Amino acid sequence: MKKEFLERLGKEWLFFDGGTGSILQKMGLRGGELPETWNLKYPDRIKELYKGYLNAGVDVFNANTFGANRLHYPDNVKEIITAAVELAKEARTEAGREDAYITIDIGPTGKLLEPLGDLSFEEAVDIFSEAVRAGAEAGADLVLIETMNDSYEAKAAVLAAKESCDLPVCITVTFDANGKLLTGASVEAVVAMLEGLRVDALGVNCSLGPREMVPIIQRLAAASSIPVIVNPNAGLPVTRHGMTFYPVQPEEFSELMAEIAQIGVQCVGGCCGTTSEHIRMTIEAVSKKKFRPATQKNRTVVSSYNRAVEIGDTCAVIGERINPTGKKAFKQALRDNNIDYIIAEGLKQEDAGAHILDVNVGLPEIDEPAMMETVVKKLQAVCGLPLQLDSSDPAALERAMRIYNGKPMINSVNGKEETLNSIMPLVAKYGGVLVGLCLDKEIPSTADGRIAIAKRILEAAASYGIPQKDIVIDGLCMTVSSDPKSALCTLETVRRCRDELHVRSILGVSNISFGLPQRGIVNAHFLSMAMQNGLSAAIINPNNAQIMAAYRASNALLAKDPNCADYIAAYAGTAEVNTPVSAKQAEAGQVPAAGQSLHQCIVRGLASPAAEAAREALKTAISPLSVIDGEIIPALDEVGRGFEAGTTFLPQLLMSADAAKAAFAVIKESMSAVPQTVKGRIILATVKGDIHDIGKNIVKVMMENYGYEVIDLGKDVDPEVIVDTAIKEDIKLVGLSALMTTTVVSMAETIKLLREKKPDTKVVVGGAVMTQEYADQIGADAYGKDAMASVRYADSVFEQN
Amino acid sequence: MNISRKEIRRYLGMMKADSDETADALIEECVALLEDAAKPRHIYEKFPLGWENGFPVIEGNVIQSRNLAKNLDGCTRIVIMAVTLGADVDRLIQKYSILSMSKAAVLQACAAAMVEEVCDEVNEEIRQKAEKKGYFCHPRFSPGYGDLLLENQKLIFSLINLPKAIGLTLNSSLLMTPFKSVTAFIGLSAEKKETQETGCAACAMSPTCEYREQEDI
Repeated sequence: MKKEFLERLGKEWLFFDGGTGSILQKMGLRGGELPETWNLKYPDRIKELYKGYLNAGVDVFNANTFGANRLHYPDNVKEIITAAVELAKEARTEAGREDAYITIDIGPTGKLLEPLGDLSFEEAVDIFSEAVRAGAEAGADLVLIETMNDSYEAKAAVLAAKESCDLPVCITVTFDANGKLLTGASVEAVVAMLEGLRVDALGVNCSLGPREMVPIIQRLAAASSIPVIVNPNAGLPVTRHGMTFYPVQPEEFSELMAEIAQIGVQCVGGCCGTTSEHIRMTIEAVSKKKFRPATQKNRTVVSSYNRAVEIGDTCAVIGERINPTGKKAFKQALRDNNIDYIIAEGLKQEDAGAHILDVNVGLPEIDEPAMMETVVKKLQAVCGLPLQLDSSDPAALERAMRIYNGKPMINSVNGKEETLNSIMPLVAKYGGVLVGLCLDKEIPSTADGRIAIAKRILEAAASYGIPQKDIVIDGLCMTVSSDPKSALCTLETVRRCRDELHVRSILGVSNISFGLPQRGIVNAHFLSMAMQNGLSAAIINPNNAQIMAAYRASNALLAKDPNCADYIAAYAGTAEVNTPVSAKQAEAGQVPAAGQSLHQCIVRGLASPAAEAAREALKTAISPLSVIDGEIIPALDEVGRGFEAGTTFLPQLLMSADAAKAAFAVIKESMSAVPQTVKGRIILATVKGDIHDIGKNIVKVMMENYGYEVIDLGKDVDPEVIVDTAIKEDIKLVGLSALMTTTVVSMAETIKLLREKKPDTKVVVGGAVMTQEYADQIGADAYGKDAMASVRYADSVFEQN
Repeated sequence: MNISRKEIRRYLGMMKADSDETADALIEECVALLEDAAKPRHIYEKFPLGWENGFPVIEGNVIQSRNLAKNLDGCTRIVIMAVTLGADVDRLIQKYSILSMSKAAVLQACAAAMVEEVCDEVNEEIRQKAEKKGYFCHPRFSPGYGDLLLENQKLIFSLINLPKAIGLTLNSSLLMTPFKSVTAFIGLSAEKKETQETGCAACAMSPTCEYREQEDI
């Protein structure tokens, strides 16, 4: 009876095959011809390819399905894949190698996923699922996902494989010489994500030769607790007489692979330019080497699309500000679907030094799962920090975990059966580091009680196959104002997590000071104490200078900051002050208003001083509205007139706009109870087919500053969506942008549809290729040659009404 | 890499602007942010160039463009080049579209200047290689110039595996992602042609474009 693949994987050397495309080219495949078409056209040649590797002694060989997906084969993907696997089975029998395993080989789609590109995550999952199902039905033994250079696409492929068959799933990705995927992920980030998704083996293929791969393989082997596959090219390609050659010959290749096999690798093979001879000699050389299985690394790691963050001996800072609790403006942003406000909260914390961002968007009156998905997608488009998904709603967590580009933190479970049973299966499927709160029906008042719950959580995790390294225990901060011993109990729990349970710990630090004045003082001192007791992660406000000072000082004192480098970098050259400047000011490098009026700050385009000055102005003003009408609007007008006269230019105009926006934010906060007057409501959109939205975004900032409410429909927007929104919201003015001549066509379509369905709505158009003549031709009401012109047109439209 | 400040100012419509301390500081800050985020990658490949009814032919594909045909007049070889600044530049601009529109706009201009700079460097490398073999380079010509339709991106992407080579992809509207990317044809001829229109002079938008290089001033 043949041994199952998984019985052998990680326990003995397993040998994978080598190049496909380079061999088929030698057999006559032309440039631009799709290799998988040969499964039907030249079945004998494909069998010959397979048999070359089988005779060389490989354990695993790829069905010729690398590019077989519906994007390349819209009509016959299943037929192509079935043929590839059938031929593989025939070749295996004919070669007398029934012990060998056939992979369904999955390569990248060649498309970039949203939000960078236009392929949605679920569509990618669907494309891969179709291929995997066809391969599994045809009788492949395992799934091998290869040559992935984007972590998000890799995740889509793994999920597809896991959801569409029961076969083992292996994956190799393609790093550049710096150890990064083309979309940015580091080696460690990729390992964290793939281990979390529970692939059976992971590794690296293509792009580099064995020699160049060594530093990457070392990092892979150091990070991975599961078997590692290494399939290099036969060196870096060189072009001679217009032909591509891979220079590393079989003998040299096999020698290099024998060395690589000793760096903690369990499976070897080749990629572009390697032949059956390369593989035969590699098998001979590597078989002589001692096999060593992968070792457990026991590191608690989360990841994003570009980096891994370890929750380890040095305390990690988790930013707490994306959370509506106790924040009026944040709650309003959630209700208004003002996603940019929420994202800006995240970006500010990134700049202030957070390592991970907590994301909590729960509010009773909103659709939390949908909001969670939207915010996570938008955050991970612009922010490289790993996220901690924070919700009590399993549906919201699952939506976010599925589309998250990396291995997230999950906040949280507690000792109650129902949370364990609803959340842990999600962690087992999607991967993640799970926060376990030391409470069940009640909160134990002793460390003994809390540690007992922690143990129960760890046991439950083990029963779901979640390793202890993927659990972080929250010893719970209860306010010291109601129980004088509560901090001591928390600190003891943290210490015992480290010393007795050997598990990582986390605390929501700010709770400790609830009900006390000057909470920052208590929070800062408590954080230092907790860090001394071994705290692994602190959920804090990184924008608060006081708590970040305690964090950096504690790291220096606890020997976690070599040469006090981080401390010095943060504070060298700063003045010794009793009341620290706010983090925002420090970050912006801008001094407080220092006598400059709000008007001056806006004209000069100084954002932080403008906010400061607005705060000052509010103290003496009759009403918030008088600050707007008396200072902000005149300042904006001054700059706007300069722009129109050609004496002020776009950067200055926008710097003033940013400054005015900062001032508005301060004023809005002060009058959130007062209904605000809006001059009018405008739809802005970049038309269907166009993804260049910077011009539209510029107009948006200007319109908002001039008192308009903007419904921003984004980019690549269908005409129907624009028209439907205009009807539903009864919009008087629509602004459309298009950058390309080709997309002006969509602009014309949008205008036509709008004229039919909502003839009273005016349209202003803009964009690089737009001219007055062009605007007239497509039937627009106005041409906004720049942002100011669009604002002036809006003023004229709404004054008439 | 030396990103031309003059080009950045041109993209920002500041050709005629006096030097301004705050604007200059903003430009320098954005250049630094960009240099940190950008990971320029490039690839180029040479193909034989054929002719059919006065139109250029690459690997059996006829390109119906009079402007390109004119540009390639006398060429027997063609180089296809592709350059991208990478996905992190898109992310950076997106980030500042949320935090600060002035930085987003200036970053956009800096990135446009940077990608041109990378193209110039790659072009120069191609020119030197060609020269050694006795060929002259014609000015590079990209899909979207003149009557060379964006549709031709499909041909370029079928001839070189750009997603794999440099992470450059084509979306369903034939726009490239990452955004800050360029593909171009460079014709090689054995004889030098002196009267090649380049830059603004070769562009169909030239009469109405406000970013046109102001040589006439």
